[in-house]
Amino acid sequence: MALVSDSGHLIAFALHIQPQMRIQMTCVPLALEVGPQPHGVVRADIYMIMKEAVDLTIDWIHKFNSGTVFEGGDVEAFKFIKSVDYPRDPETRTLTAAIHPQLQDRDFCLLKRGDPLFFKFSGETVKYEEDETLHPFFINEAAYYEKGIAFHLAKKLMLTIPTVQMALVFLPALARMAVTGGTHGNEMSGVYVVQEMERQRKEKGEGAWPIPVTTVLSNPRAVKECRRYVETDMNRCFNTDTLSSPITDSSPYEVRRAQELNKLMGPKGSKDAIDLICDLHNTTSNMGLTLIHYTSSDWTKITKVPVRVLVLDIPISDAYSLESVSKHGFSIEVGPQPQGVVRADIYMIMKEAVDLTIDWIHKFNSGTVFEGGDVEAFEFIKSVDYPRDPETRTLTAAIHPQLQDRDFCLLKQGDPLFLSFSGETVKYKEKEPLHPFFINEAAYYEKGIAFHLGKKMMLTVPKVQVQKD
Amino acid sequence: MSSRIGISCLQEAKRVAIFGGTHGNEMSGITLVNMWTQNSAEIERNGLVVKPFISNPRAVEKCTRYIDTDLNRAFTPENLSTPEVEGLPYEVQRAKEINRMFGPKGSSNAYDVIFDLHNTTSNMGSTLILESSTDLFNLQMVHYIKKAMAPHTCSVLLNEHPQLKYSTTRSVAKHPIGLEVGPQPQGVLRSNVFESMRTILKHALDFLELFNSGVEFPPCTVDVFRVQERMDYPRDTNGNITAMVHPHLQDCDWEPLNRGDPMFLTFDGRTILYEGANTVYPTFINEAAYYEKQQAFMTTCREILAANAIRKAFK
Repeated sequence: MALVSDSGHLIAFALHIQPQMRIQMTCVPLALEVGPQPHGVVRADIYMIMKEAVDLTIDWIHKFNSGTVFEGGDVEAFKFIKSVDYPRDPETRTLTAAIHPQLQDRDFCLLKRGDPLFFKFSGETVKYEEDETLHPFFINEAAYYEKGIAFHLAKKLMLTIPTVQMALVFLPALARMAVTGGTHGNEMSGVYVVQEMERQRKEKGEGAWPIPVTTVLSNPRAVKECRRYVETDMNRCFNTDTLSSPITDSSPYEVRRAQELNKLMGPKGSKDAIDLICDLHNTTSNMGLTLIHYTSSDWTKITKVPVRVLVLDIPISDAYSLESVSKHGFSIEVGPQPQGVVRADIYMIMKEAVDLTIDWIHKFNSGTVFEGGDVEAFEFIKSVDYPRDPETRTLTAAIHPQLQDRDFCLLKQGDPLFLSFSGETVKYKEKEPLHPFFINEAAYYEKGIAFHLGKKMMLTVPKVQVQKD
Repeated sequence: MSSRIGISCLQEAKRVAIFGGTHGNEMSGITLVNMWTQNSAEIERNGLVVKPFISNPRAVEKCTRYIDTDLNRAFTPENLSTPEVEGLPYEVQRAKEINRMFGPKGSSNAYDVIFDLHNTTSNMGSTLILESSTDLFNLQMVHYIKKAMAPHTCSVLLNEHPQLKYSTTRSVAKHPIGLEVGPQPQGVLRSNVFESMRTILKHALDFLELFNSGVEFPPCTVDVFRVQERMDYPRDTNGNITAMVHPHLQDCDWEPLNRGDPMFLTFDGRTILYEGANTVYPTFINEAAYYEKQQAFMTTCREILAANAIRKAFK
């Protein structure tokens, strides 16, 4: 099996078949190909491989959208070079040989000069005659007989993800995704994966997956008839000409359907097009499964400054502080320091933070690549006020000595919060352990805040680089 | 004042006040006074009347040090003697009022003891402030408190300097005592600081009760730090500070500062050293309220004061 994409962003498996033949409606099309599985058959092992691949893809996208860094690396890929047809009778064009037993099922093996290719019905072996060693795949794919393809040949190459400078192009989050099955009505894994996902959606609602996923049965008539296609191979109908051709009475079903799908998930080439389509296929070839991921993003967080990150989960339009006027604003908070006092140690920390910020921005603008990393962050949950006299609203307790100065510690049920003036300890009563901060901030007495409580989370900041025009 | 050999007989201390909120953002005293105004059980003692009192209520309400002028510098003879005139700064009016209620300063009708409760951003711990080296009553009280607090340290600051001493709120009483506990930011109530101040007052009131009941307190000595000099920040020609208290000096109240020790750190990273000839003991290091008073810290020298035995005079 191969994960196919012909976009520059998501390089999955570099099978560079002519681009216009793919379902190419979005910026990031993907085809999953799992085999071997005969047409019309659903094998449990093949189904499970494909389902797992789809789940991993969804999971990856969710992680990607959440800002996870995916380390690049070297990936073995195969670049299509050419096809090889069966030996045929020159007149009738019928096959005169079959794939040689020593080649059958050996997809992606290394084919050297002299290796057997076909075993003629008459008993002779047809050998590979070329000097260049290549790798065969889609060996003995049922659907390719009519296309005159016994197998494809590919050159092996190493993809280093990210490869070159172009690989770090600014990439916005992948917000909308579709999983399509039954593009070929007899490639069953995809049909059943889509069916299962639709059942899960009915059962669990939109929370079935961490990101919004649309499921589509691409060619329902072909699925019903358990045929690859009804009138024409739909997986060749998504070129612009076909998509824009006027529909007449004589238009093939698959062309109409293609235009329908283009309206549903495209329009191709527009900004309204869905972010990702994952198209599911099977092959009769023993191609297994290959999957590659890489990503980049527009995170502009500073990872070098060792400060904790507070996350406020409010829409930008509701954000109340000055830095929210900017696109990527953040504020630097250093303490402890009394109001009206400048402490040299605190001053030096803040100065260093500002200098690092300026330095980072300068480097970023100059094109430096910043490695990602993990940043401990705390998401604001709620505030807690002091115990107060019900009438006068004056304080009746102070922050407990065991909580004082312990910002960002872990507060567990039963831990002391306040020491009342009458000597009683007020304890943290909630079950969920949270992290207090802004403990005993002078300016917050009048706001009715003794401290805030936050939930700890890890922000994984991806590798970033400034977008090039 | 009658005396027998070595024992000073002093008038009983019957009328006692506890002032909080002389500075409206020094929270320990404010909280204690409000608490004791609601429920005075904790401060009741036989033989004396203890009045908790908020000295600067408007500043307390705004949680600010003062409204127009520093109340704790307002009890000058000039201020206290001016006839009532409209348009006086709020704190000067207040000073006159306090002088009426708890003074008049210097008269026999004045309150016997006033405890004035303060906080500081400096790392001074628990500090008792005296204005006179010859007030035997105060020396004995301070000695008693220090002993009772042990092993918790209680430093004693003596500000008798002719130029540097100032006309405090408590100075309307016969025996003024300043309580200064830190470090605590302005506007913040820290439990440990609060409880320390509460404990100091408990011991002080115990002393008063004992004294009034006739207990004799033997001669004693008290280690004090006597105010020497006020050290300002380095400043530019516009009066802006150009350096901060050096990290090695920051928080080192009461520790020796020797010639050549780092004192200030300029904003661009240069160290300024202490050049004085003698070892000094700095205090009030980096107090927020003193930036405007041109004071980065005060230097003090160590001294041992001796006090006679005291007991209440017989009527």
